[in-house]
Amino acid sequence: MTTFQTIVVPFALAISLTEIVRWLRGGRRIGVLKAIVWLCFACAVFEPDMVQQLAGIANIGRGADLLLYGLTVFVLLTTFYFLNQFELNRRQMTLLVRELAISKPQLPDSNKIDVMYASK
Amino acid sequence: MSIPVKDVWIVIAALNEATRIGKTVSSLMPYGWNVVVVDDGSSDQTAEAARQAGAVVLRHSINRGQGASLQTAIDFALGHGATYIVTFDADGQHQAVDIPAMLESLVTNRADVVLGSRFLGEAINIPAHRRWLLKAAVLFTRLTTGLQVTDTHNGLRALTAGAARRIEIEEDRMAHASELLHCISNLRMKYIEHPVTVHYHRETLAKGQRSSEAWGVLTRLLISRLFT
Repeated sequence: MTTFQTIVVPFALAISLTEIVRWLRGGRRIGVLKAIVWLCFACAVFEPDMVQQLAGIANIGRGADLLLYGLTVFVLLTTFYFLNQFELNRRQMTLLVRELAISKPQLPDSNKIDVMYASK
Repeated sequence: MSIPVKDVWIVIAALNEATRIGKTVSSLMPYGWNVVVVDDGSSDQTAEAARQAGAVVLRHSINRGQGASLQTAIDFALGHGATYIVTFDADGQHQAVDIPAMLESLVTNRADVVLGSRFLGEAINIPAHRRWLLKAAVLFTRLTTGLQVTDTHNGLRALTAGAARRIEIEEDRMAHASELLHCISNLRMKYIEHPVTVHYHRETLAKGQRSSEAWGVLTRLLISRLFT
């Protein structure tokens, strides 16, 4: 094993294991996905030929190209996901601010209130 | 046809307009309409100036943008029995004297919305680049909505309560003006344009909507198409 593999593989495996333990103790299901991603990362670093073989199966050719394509899809998906979340949060925040504003109207001087609330 | 003044609500979005909002509200008060100003998280005395001039003030605790502010004011007006709603700018560009004719037009033509048009009326001291930018925006709006409007992003509009209930502004910032036109088109509302006068002066040009914001509006429109 190279120095890089010696440092990175146990590190990635430890994170993967931690995520699994957290999930087993009642953590969120997203932990399983994180554990799988870290495990795949550890495998890819430990055995680079595996990525090459996967690329061959997928008719992509080089392992580096497979990683690049995978990364591109991942970045696009996460970008759309976060944009969607941002839009949702923006709308919710506006609704909250609006609700607060409407619940506490500041009325004009008393001599002008008659006109403002006559239509209620 | 005479419209009871109590049925009319003027809605204004204001951000850091302490020096001008009082004058704007005061210009509306003689008509007897209800005036509601949304202070969109100003750091100056906008809310107090508007209140002293006679408006009901709603305060956004944080800045949410002109579109969000107008929707807040519209929700409030509808909740208090508004029959007609007029959107009006805080900076004094619009003339209160244009409103009665717009309301008259709304009623007599049985329209849902009356859109103010500075190009049918007058745009005093409008910079040349702003004129061209607005013309380009008009062309874009015609292509994307099918509405044969002569002006776009004009803040002076009159709506019936029914139309205001159907239109829900979701664009918090400047893109709300385009969104509103898209709603009119999609909901097949009856709209007419009415000539109005818009005064441009140094302060409003310095503080108001910048030409560069057109890109922001365009981006928002694209995003809203993708994620809604």
